[in-house]
Amino acid sequence: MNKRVDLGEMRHGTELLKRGFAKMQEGGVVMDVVTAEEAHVAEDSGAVSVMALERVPADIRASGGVARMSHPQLIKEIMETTSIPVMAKARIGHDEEARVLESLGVDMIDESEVLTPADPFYHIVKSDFTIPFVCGCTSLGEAVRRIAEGAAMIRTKGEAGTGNVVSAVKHARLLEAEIETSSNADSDQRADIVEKILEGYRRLEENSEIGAKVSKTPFGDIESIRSDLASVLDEVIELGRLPVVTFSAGGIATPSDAALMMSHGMDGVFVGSGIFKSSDPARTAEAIVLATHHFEDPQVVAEASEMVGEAMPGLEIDSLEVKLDERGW
Amino acid sequence: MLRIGLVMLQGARHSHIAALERASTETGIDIEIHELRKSSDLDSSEPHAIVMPGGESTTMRLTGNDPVSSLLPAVFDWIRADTERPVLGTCAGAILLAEPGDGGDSLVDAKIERNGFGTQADSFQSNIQAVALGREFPGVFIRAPRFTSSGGKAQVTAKLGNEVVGVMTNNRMALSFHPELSGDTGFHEWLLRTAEKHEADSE
Repeated sequence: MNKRVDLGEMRHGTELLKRGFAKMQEGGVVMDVVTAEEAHVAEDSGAVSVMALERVPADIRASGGVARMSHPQLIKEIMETTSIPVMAKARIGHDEEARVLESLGVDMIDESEVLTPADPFYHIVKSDFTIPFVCGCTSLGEAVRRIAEGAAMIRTKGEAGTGNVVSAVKHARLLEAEIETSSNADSDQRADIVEKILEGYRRLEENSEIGAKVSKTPFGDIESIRSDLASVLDEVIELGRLPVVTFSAGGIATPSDAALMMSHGMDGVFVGSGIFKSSDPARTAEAIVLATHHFEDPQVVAEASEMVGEAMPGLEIDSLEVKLDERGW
Repeated sequence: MLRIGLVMLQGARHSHIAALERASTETGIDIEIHELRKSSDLDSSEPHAIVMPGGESTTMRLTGNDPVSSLLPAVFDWIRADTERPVLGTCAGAILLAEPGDGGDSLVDAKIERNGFGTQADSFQSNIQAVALGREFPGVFIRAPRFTSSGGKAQVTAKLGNEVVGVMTNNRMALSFHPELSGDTGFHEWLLRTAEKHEADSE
């Protein structure tokens, strides 16, 4: 019945479409998967998207070394298997890995500290891409920088692969307190906050033997970045929250962990090792979806908790050799 | 005061709340939005109209059919109980109306294909012809489903060129795009006006 539409005449990759894609994830659980089979389990258990990767964070931690973008063949297999959106991770600052992922046709790129950062000074120029990005943050300043660079979605930067939710909670609390502080700031104080956030673009200066000054960055000159940061901060203050969908990620291992993060005002959760490192992945996945959806109802969270067997083993943050929330800035 | 039930299973629910509130101001029709998470929320709120937002239809079927929630069976029963009840389903909401998946009849007389336009890179914005509103409308299509056919009981309510992007059976409107993200509240105003009229007719 329908004539084919010429998609070439339409507008693609707009800010509205990128942020709109993230809105479709609201209230959902994004699950890490390492095989097409796991992607199937995730979809059947109610995942809102899958994150395609070669190893879950717990295994990346255990094996050490440089963690890179997943093999294109694996990502393709997962894309062919599942009908829900597929996300994949690129290293911080690795624009070329991101280009590869975009050309493979993934729906969203996670510029992720779970992989080894590729650029010590700058993140990916996300506004140059047609597909949307999600980025991690530990605080408001980091979130504002990423949004100004074009991120369409933000997530906390909890310690992936530990089964320990404390860092995700820390970031959510900091974010909330800093949004409140910014909202109460007068115009001089706001300008000071913008200057502090701008410092994140001067990291190169500390490394220069001859005192190089940063005037131009991949995101434009310092003046234009300052004005972009100020307008994102204005948007935050006007809304009383980040202007993009905000998820929690890192260390979420149980249904009640997911409910806890939702009660901190998060719009949804990423679960990595917590599902496929548990004793019964399908049940755990479904239980976390239910607890995320009914987080305000302790009875349902209790029922969801009963559904799961043994959770993944956990790690103390102080005992970690690599702290992921120190990657990126 | 009209009570509008919003299916809170998953997806762009808060954008619908904002659009409904703006539509209420535009039309002067007072509304109260009731968030529906469980079938008991539907019983207690007795809505005059229902909005089924977009998101992932697979996720919505799981959370909506789970015994804890049972929201979807209750919503489908509510819709079938009176053919003139106003319903607005967008994107995944439109999929649920075309394919309720409960063994019963479709709630709109059309067939629909998930992700019919491709992946996120193919998501697009374009002006469309909102037949139901008699004017152009800013269409926002995100991994949108695609109507593959519509039957005799379906009225075409939105078109993109020759392609059908909105259908209506009785007062059940299924749109493959996202009016709640467009900044234009035309379809939400349609819902409120239709609900007001249906309420007046049934009294």
